[in-house]
Amino acid sequence: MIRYSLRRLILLVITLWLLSLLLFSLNYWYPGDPLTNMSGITANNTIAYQQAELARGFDHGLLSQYVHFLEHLIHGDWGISLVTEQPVFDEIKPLMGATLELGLLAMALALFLGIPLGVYAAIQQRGLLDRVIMGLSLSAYSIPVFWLAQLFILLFALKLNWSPISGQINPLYAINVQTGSVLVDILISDSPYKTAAFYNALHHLWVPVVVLAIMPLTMLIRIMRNSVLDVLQQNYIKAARARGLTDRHIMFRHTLPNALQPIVRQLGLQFSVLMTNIIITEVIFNWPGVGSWLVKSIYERDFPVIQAGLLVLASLILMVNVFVDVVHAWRYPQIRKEIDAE
Amino acid sequence: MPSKSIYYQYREPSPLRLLWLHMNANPFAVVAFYIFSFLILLMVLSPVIAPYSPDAQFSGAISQPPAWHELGQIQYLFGTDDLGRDLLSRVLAGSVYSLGYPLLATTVAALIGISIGAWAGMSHGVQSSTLNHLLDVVLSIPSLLLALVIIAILGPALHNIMIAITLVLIPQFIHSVHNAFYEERTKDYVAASRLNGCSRWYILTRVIFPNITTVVVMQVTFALSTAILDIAALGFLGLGVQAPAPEWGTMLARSLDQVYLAPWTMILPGVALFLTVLSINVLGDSLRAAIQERVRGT
Repeated sequence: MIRYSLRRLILLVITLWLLSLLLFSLNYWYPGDPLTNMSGITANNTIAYQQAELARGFDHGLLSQYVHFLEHLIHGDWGISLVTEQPVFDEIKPLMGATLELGLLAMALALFLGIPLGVYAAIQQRGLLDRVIMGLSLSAYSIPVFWLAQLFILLFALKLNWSPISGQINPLYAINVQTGSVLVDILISDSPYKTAAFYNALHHLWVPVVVLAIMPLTMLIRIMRNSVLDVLQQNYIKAARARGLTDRHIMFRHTLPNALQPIVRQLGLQFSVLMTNIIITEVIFNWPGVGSWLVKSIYERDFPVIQAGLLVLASLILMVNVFVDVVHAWRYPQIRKEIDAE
Repeated sequence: MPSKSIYYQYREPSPLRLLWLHMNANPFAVVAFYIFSFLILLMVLSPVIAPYSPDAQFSGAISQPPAWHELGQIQYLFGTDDLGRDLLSRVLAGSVYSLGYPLLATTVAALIGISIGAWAGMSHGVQSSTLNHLLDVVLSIPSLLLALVIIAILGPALHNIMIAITLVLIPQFIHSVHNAFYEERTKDYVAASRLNGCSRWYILTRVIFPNITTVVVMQVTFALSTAILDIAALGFLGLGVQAPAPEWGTMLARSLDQVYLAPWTMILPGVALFLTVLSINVLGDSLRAAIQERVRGT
């Protein structure tokens, strides 16, 4: 186990290093001056530009530039935005909170509904509900997320008037942004209308969360159904049945723990899919997160921001994937054997 | 005239033919196949069958509802958008951007990716295991994010999107082809051909490749649906095909502002996109099932 974890960690470090190399070279591939792209300081600001030139090793060769780039990256000095002229690192923290809130809630919803529905479909195999669930999940998997979001806005916000069209919370509540995650911000704020603000935030939150949850949900249902069906054919289930255990006992003690294995393995991939959808969904719902910030920065050709957005999203995805791999190998030793044996 | 098949001769169907037989047994796959072929046909014929030019504006019919609405007119079957352009013609013309260009990108990516994957699959040792690990990691980063970065470098334009999507799809092909080769390489029939003294090129093209066609076909369907969704998503974000072109994602982005006044402008491009991706996904899904069945059958 230790050997496996170490291998994954070393791979993670190597990949993050490659990511840093990519980010560094992007500064030279983007149009314009590499130093401006890296630090956000334009040549008009002569004194600051000269200082940045020295601080980032631009008087020496590429190698020293890369070393200084890495140093700045690790110290959290990610340059300033070309548009707002604010430090990128400070800007990204609340945005990250908002994105994570959306992502985690959607993932939680998908897991919460997907596993029971998958098990249910498997028990009812080839029954009416199984067909309905599987058909719906295949078509839901093919709906582009931006169209789904539009349909939801059309239905829930315009026709039924159940929720606002976009945004995080009604600005009248004047909640200070601290973590970026609006629910947490309300809880730690000293606003006199906490409960009302909380309900208002939930009112804004549920449509994007449902839109985001549908894609991973459908995948989880399909994987769970197939995996339960696989497990139910194993000999140990037959043995358990032969011992006279109840259906309930077999399901919860023998089938489910084993059937969850492919789900755990898929979580990393599902997280990547979710992050793609978050980028688009945030733009549609005007959610102040990393995704909409990244897309806006591409319109504005704000290179320090593009770089930071890419770094944060890519490293988040990489770390979640390695984490899921390690947890998977820790919980399911038979996988470890397969990996070590090769 | 004597019948040609006097003697009973059992012919083992080729892997691809076997797959086709399995697919034919699944009604959903057959329907998806027909829908997909129909869409391709529409795309090829779109310049001929579209009633109007996609850019023609009718100043007398701005934001006209579909024909079955009481305000609708039959000459604009699915209505017109806020600039008075016929939606049906635009969706038909848009299929070239939203289906034709992804097909092109997938083909190019498949050619490059399969060659590299095959080369890596035939090489031994550290080289290929490093490649495998690296690709594992690169593939966990979403293709849209990578495409966004490439667009940030090149700038939004049709040919840049094509470059970005092709580049993003290549690693997927390398990965799956490499893995398939790696699995087949150690099997007995390959060892037998090697002992017979076949050249590497012969083993690659005539011995192993026919046995991994199924994997390649499946990967192509997967890459195609990714390419369609990514090109539409980029168009939707305003970073892809630029505005007057009738690309489905761009049309949806425009309809987002019109959703109060003309909700029908978002239905048709969305349905087109959904049907295309659904038919490809069902095809891919039943291919996967058929491959599993074939593997189990042998």
